[in-house]
Amino acid sequence: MKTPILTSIAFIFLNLNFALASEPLKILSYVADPISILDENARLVEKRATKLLPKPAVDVQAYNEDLDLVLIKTSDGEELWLDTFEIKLNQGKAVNLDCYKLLQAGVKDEKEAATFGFGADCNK
Amino acid sequence: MKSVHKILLISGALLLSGCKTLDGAGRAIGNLTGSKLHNQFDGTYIAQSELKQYKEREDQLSGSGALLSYSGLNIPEQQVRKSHIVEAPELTDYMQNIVTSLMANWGGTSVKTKVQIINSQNFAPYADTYGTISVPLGTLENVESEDEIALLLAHELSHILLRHHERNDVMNAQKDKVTMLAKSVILANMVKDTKLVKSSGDYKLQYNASKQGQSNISKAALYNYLINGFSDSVWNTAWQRSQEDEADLLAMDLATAAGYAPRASSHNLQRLNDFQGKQDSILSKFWDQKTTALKTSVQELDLSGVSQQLDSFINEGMGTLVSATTDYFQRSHMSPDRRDVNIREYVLREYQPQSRQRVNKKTWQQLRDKKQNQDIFRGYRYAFAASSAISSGNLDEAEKLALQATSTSVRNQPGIREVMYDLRMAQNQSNKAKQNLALVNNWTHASPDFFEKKVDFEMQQHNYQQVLQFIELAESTFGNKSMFIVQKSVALANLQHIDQAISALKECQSYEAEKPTCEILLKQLEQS
Repeated sequence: MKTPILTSIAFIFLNLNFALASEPLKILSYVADPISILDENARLVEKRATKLLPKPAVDVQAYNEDLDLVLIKTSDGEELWLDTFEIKLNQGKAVNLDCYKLLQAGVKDEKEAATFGFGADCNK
Repeated sequence: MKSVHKILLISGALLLSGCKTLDGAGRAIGNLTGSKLHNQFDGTYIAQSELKQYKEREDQLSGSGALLSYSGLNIPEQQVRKSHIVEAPELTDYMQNIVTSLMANWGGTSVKTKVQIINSQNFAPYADTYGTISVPLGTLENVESEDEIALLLAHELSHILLRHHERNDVMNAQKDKVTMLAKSVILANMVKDTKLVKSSGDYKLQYNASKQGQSNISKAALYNYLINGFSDSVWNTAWQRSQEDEADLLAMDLATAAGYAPRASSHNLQRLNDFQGKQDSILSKFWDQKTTALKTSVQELDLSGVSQQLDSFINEGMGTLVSATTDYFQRSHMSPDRRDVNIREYVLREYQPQSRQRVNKKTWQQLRDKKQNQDIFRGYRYAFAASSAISSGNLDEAEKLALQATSTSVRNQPGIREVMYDLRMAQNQSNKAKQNLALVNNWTHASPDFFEKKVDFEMQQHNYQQVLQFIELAESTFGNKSMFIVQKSVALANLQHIDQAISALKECQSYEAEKPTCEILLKQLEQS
C-alpha cells in the first residue's frame, strides 16, 4: 500500500537540489575579471586576469557544494579552485517542483493581481 | 529628433509635475533597451539621493510592528489573497524576525509588514500593497539557507519600501496622458511653424511645416502610436521590470547590511530559473540576435528605427521569434539569468569582501528539520499530491494520499480539509464532505474558493443565517465586499430582510462582474 503513495510523492517532489543533468559541469563564462583564485578551503590565494585562464567552456574537475568552489585544470596542468559566484556554470541550484510539473499536476496555484513578486507567474 | 525627446521630457515634466511617484520612468526606457540599472550610479543603491523621498513616509503602513488584518479595507476582488494561509507559527515568526532585522538597515521610516506562509508550490514570494509578504510553501521546500530566505524577503520588503505598488498605480493612471503628451508635441510644432502673415490686406495664420517640424510631428505621432499600441505589452512591463531591478539592488543592500551572504541571491535566481523552466532559451536567442539595432534606436529615441526593427521581425516571418518578442515584452521580470549576472556585477563592485562570505545552511536546516515543521511540510505535500490525483480522476490514490495528510498535525487547516472535501464530493459523499467543512480550525486562513464552497453548501441546505455569518467573516478576512454580495442578497431575501437585500443589490451594481446578476435580482425583488 505504501509503494504507490511514495511513488506519487516522489514523482511530484523529486528532490534535486542541484540541477545535475546528464551533461558534465562546465564553466560558461567568467563574471569577475580579475578572478579570485582560492585554495581548497576557499581562502584567497591571488587575483588573476581571466585571459590567463582556459577559455570557456571549461570542464569542471571537482565541485565542492558546501564551499561553492569548482576545480579546473589549466592547459599546463595547474589546478585552480574558483568561486562559483565569480563564474557562470551550465547548471545551477534547482527546485523540486518546477512550473511545468506544477501545471502538469493539475492543482490550481495562482497569485493575486497587483502584487509584486520575486518572479513572474508560471504562465508568464 | 533630439528636440522631440526634449519636448516630450518637458511636456512630461509639466504634465506629471508634483508626481514624484513616477520617478524611474526614464529607467524604464533604459530597461527596455537592456541597460543595467547598477551601471547608472556610483556607490550603493541605498545611498542614492533619489531614495531619500521614500525614507520618510507617513501613511497607513508607517510605524513598527505587524499589520493586523484587512478588515475595514475595500480591496478589489482581483487583489484578494487566493491561497490558504498555512499555520506554522515558528516558521512565520522566524521570517518576521528576519524582516525586522532587514528593516533596521533601511535608514528611514519603518513600515508595518506581515509575513504569511501560503499553500502554494510556486517558488517566488510576493508582496501586496498592504504590507503583507506571502511566502509560498514551495519557497521553503526549496531554499537551503537563511541567507536565501533573507534575500527573498528583502526583495519583497524593498517593493514596499520603494512604494512600487503606489508608483505602479500612478503609472497606470498616466496612460491616457501619453496621448495628450504626443498631441502637445504636435501642437507645439505647428505653433512653431505657423506665422502671422499679411495677405491681400488681411492677416492670416499660415502654417508652413518646416522639415524639422514635420519630422517632429511624425515622430510624435509614431511615438504616440507605439506607446499606445504597445502600452500594455511593452511600456508597462518595462516599467515593472525596472522596479524589479530596483528591488533586487535594495534587497542586496539591506541583506548585506544585516550580515547575510550576497551569494544567496544567486542561489535564489538559479532556483527561479529552474522553476520557470525553458522559456529563457528562446528569449535569449531573441535578445542576442535582435536587440542591438532595437537598443540603439530606442536609446536615441529614433522611433522610426524602432518601428522598422519591429516590422522586420514580422516581415522575416519568424513566427517563433515574433511570439518570443511578445512574450519577452509581456514578461514583468527580466530573465533570472540576466538578473543574476547584474546583481553579481553589483556585488563584486560594492561588496567585494562580503562576496566571499558563504551561506549559513545550519540555522534554517535545524528549524526546517524540527519534527513539528517537518510534519507541516509533509501534510501539505500529501495534500498537494492528493489534489493532483483528484484532478486526474485517480480517486483511490487520492484517498490514500489525503488520509496521509490528515494523519499530520495540520489535519484541520483549511488547505488540508479542502482536499478532503473535494475528494468526498468527487466520491459523491456529500455528507462526509460536509463533515470536513465543520472540522476547519480557522476559517480566516481559508482561501476565497473554499469560503465559496462553504457558502454554497450552506445555501443548498437553506441555512441562510449561517450563510450570512460566513459572508461577514469573509468580508473582514479579505477586506472585500463584492465576492459574496449575490449570495448575501439572496440569503437576506430568504430571511425576509427585503430592505437589506435591496440595499445589498444596489451596492452590488458598483461591481462590474456581479452587476448583471444583481440587476436581474433587484428587478425581481422590487416587483415582488
